[in-house]
Amino acid sequence: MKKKKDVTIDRCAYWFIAPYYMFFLLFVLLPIVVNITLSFTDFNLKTISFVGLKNYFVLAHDGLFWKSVLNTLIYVIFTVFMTLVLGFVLALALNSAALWGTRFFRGFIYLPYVTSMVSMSMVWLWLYDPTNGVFNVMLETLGLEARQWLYDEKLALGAMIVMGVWKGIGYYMTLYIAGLNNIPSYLYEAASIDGAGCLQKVFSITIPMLRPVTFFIVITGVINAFNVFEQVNVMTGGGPMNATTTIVHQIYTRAFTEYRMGYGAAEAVFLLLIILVFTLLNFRYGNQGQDLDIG
Amino acid sequence: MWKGTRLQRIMAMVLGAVLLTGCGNSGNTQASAGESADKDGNKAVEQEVVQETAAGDNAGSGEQVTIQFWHQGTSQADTEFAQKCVDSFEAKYPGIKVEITGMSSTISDQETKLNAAVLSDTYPDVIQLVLAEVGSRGALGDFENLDRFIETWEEKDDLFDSAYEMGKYQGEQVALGIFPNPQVYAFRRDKFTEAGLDPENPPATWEELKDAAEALTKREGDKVVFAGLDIPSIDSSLVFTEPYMRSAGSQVIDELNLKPAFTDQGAVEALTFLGELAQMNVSIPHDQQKGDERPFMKGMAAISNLNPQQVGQFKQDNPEIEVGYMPVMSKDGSDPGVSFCGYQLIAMGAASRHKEEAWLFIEHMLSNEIVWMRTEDSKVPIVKKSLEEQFIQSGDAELNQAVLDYVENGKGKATVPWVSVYNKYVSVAYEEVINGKKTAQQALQDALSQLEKEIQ
Repeated sequence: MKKKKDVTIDRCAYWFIAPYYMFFLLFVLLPIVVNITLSFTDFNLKTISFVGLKNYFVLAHDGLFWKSVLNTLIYVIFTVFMTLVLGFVLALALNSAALWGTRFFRGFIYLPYVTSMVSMSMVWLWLYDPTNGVFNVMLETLGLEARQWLYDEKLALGAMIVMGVWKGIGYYMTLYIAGLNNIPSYLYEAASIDGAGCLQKVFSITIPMLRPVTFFIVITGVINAFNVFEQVNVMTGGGPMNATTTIVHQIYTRAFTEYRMGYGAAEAVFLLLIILVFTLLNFRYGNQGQDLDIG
Repeated sequence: MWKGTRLQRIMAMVLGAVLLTGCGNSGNTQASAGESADKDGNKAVEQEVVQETAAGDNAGSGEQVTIQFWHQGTSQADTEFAQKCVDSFEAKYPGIKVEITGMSSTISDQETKLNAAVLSDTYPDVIQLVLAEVGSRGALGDFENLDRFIETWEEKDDLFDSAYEMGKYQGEQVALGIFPNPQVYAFRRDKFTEAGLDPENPPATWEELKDAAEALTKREGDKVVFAGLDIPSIDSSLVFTEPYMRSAGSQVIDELNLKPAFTDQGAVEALTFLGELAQMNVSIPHDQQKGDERPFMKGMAAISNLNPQQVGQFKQDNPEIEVGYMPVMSKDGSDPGVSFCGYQLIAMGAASRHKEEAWLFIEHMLSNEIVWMRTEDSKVPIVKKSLEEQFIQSGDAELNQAVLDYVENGKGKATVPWVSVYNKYVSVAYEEVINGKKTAQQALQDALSQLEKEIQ
């Protein structure tokens, strides 16, 4: 306590961080507060009245909303798992910058991540085209039956997942490459001296050392995947038979096409709670492995 | 030290100010929402009158007034047409400047844009809208009642009655039709001949359509490589489905009592028929709303229901192909059929601060000069009685005649506030039926119970 008195605080620092906090208050915190407030109303752009918890009771019995929750969960689980595994494998394959074409392939795989989701959705619409789409042409070349990717209730969500994985994989690969470069090479050298094989090194050194990166990827990946919307809106509009509708798509539909802003706000609060849970998990487990003793 | 700290503070404030500049008003001199409407939502009449008096003199006074016009479509052709309209208007009224903005032709995107405009008080002075929005946005009070303007309009008797009727929401004239937008069943004459069908005698009933679709379809194994008929896999706005329901006698929606009416015998028969048609495997999957991706437009179908602009586009892209038009299809020939006839309309934003100027622009958009220019450019039907003869005589007489028949026997979307909720549930019912998941009766009944739960 005594020591604290000796610390000089330069209050000017507060002025420098003030603009960020003003942005945070105006564009993050305030909208969240307004949204939570709206969720207790029946605001429809024209009139507004307090309805208490009615929106939440209706939400609890809204079959379409729970269908969207289920779709979103399926999307989250598969997208995060597949991007994680494939991102890791690609990072291992492209880790050495000395190999020919590594930089090109890294850039090539990263490219979809920085491309607009809407324009990519248009490209994937063409890839999934039931008659002339690339995937069906490939299937037919192999002597297999063509599929109605986006028009088949059983395939449409899977088609969305594949696209989501393709879009995000470059980012996760880049994070893993950064993580791999931070692993001291003497650990591998020591393992080689001890007679460890490639797989042993991966499972005993690489994966444990990448735990902080993996946690970061899981948490941010889950949050991003819960917010899936653009490709759904552009490619399927939530169909066929609501097979691809997601939580954010439902929020959009309720609030912006049916003018049920209050109800849409209640759905958004539900999503906020889910994301909050995962963020808390991040705080709880996200820094595990940071304190590994590698000295 | 003190000087250094002060400098740092000034720097921090400058940095903050620079960052926050982006949040500021862009320099638009328009007044805020509070100035145009009082707490109860009533218009600030006094202010409006002052503005309107001033507006009337604008052409002569040299004071520039700027109005916003949001039109349908973002294609080059849409933008060019809107610009032509604005150019001729500005030449006529030098004191009024019109800024145009194209809206996506997807309804949900338009709704998003309009909602944002309502909440940010940037609603346009004049807006081009589709029929469904007369009900959905009319219920929100987005549009100005046009009666007082129409009273003094010299050409009011020349406008089609349907252009007035379509623009009414609960008896109030909130919009005026600028052109009907029927969905005409077009077919390829060459494919009819190839399949041994008579192109001079196209299908006129449901059964005839079924037979023709089967005869025209080409398959490789189970895969349809050339569709006999475009049956959408997704029909989210029910433009394809509704005419079948209405032709079978269903009211679909009781607009007078604001009640759903799509579970009657006619609607069930229509969906059952469409389910049978889909199970025949005579079409290539597509989304009705994605017009350009329709198999017919890509040369992969023989029959499709298209709006006149799409027909024009197809003929322009494929000048060697002869296109024919089916009569408005009847269920079994005993009663006349009903087609889908949407309408594009023009309305004035209720929050407009330049109503007189906005009305002058609406008048201009309904002038014979612009109506005819639209017909020539976009191949859409006219809405002025004085142009009727000229329309039939001009261009593609066969298409024009078909268009007029479809307009005459057409019905558009119901103007009820919950039309988007109805679309949502009934389109799922349609998908369930064509995919063989439910019977028509069950699917429609489920849609009804879900819809009723929400609109209560």
